[in-house]
Amino acid sequence: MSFSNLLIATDQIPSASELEFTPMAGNYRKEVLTQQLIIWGIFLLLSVVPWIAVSKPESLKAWLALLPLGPLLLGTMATAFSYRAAQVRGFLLREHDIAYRTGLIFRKVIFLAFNRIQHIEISQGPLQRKFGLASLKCFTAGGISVDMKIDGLSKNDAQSLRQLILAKIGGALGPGNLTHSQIDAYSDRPIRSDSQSA
Amino acid sequence: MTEQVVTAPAAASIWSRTSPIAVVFFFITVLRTAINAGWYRIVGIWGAIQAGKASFILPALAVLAMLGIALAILSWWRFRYRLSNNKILIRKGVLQRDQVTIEFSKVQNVRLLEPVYARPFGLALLEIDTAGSARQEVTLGGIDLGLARRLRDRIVGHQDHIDPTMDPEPDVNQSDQATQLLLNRSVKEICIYGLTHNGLFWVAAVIGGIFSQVDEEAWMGPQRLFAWFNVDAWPVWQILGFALLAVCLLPLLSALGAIWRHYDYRLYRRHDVYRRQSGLLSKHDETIKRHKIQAAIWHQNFIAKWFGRVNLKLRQAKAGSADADVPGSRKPSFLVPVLRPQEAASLTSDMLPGLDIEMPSFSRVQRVQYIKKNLLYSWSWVIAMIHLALAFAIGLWTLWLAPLSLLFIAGCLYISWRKLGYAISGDHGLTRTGFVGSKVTIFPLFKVQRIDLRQSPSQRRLGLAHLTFHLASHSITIPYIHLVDAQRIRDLTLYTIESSQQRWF
Repeated sequence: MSFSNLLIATDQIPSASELEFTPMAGNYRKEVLTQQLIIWGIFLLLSVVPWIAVSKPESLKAWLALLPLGPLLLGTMATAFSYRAAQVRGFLLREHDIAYRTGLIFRKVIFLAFNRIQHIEISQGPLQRKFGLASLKCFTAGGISVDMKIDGLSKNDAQSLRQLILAKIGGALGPGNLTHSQIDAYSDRPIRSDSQSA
Repeated sequence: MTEQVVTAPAAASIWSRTSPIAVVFFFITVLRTAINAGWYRIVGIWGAIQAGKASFILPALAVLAMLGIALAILSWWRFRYRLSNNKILIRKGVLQRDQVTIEFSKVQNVRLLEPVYARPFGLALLEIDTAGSARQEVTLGGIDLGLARRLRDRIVGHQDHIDPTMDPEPDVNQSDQATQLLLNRSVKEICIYGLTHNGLFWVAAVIGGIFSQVDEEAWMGPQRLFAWFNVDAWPVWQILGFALLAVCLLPLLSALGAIWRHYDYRLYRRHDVYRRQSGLLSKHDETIKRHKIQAAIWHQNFIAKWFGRVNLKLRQAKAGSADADVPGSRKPSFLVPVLRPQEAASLTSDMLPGLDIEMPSFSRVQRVQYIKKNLLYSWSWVIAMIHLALAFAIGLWTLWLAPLSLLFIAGCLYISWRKLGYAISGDHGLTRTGFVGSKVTIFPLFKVQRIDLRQSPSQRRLGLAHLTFHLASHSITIPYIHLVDAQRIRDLTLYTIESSQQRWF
């Protein structure tokens, strides 16, 4: 294409496009399925309420009996969609960065370099606990929002990933680079005290 | 670094209050909060005055003013600070009492203000804020000017310690050998800045109709103004007169505003710290460390283009809260106004080390998709709405004009496509957007925090993508870029981030 200003020969730069992403833990699809079933189950139950509550006139009651069709239809579609979307998700770990791919229709790939990560967190919801899963959240500078939230890791994977990233961040703290205290300075939860020997 | 409370004077280690003059500062803060919370209620007061019910309003205002003054005095009384060698402790709050600790190493921003009411007393205001996930912001209102300067110098790292006993002295940075004056701006140039600044956009908003490149804030302005003054009730000549007055007055007002704020603008550099100083009666003094600059943006709107000048703005890491989204609380970015293009280029390459001064040629994004998709997804709604409204208001025949509007918008999108561009120059990324004017953003690739690549189904088919750079200050998206280019830029950016040893924050 038109831009040609690269100083470094392009073939020397590692390419991230032909790499294989690791799919999420097998339980993740089950978790998504369960979550969807719970949500749409509640909607289904609610949609039956008018049918039970209304007794007259008969014609209205007959129409109200059709109401559960809505959540049933929408629920099936949404569940199928979420299930497929969960299959598409994947992450990629390289020597210096981590990538996360999401989106069934609108595909999105996020790249995060280890030496820009400010702090990391593991979170586990009730359903995730049930399935032995966890989310890994990575934060960078300049915002309170999560920069990368990897859902659907197994608890063990999440923990070892966290250890690995912490070790990588630690490795990035060589001479001439950011010091521990400089990283701590921008973080509520200092990375240094958080990290164990990896 | 070991913590060491300043030893010399006993006074430094105890809690001290700011000068009583600071009551004025607190009163202004109270007033500002009150106005921000209820400024639109002025409409109600205006209505009441017109309806002749003003009798209770003046006493009510008087009581409110008394309350405000009382609150200001209390706030001043409760506000105490304590300095140590590498941090400042503050206790404040009337009802809710807070203690804030700010370590100098965490400070993102220091601004030294000499408001007109404090200058006769040799006092100053020091605004300090920290970024990161723990965000804090304090203003030391009404401290001694010399102390404020030393504190500022300590924070930006010019001095190893603070000595509060030192006599007030002329600003060290001006007499110092290491400090160099990079540029100053004449009154004429400041006037040009005023013209290129927001003020004229209001006029454009009034005159220019729907398709002008004004942001939402500028838009809401005149609308609210008209609502206040109940324009519908006015005779036509009065409205016309008002519009004419606005057209003549607003440029004048914005030029005057610019002089008030930027008179005697000077930009200094001392080692790796840039400092700007300006102000007619109230003096503003702001510093930025070179390694904290995340991006440099060249703003050139149509007026600036006419004058052949560029306004340079430096972006720093955004503070933790979402304050950039709230117009009232937005902090002005570090501004270098009305530069000639060569000045802007040499200054930018001084501020972003390693940047090539020569402007690279910009690559363009995929034209057809850019225009088509923007027309389809963003503008078709607007056009449909307007034409439906017109069809209802004037007549069905106006629907025949819809294709014309579509064509017009497509033409405008074509113009904006011609401006849209990206380039990689050495290890810096550049993007350009604009319509008549332009906005060029220059950022070092190694300061990118995160990089996203998004693709819709049609983009996947056509081999296109949106590429987004997330900087610590803001995000930049290149839309409808060829996937191959996007991937190459992404790989290069990641490589630059990961191999860089430079300080980025």
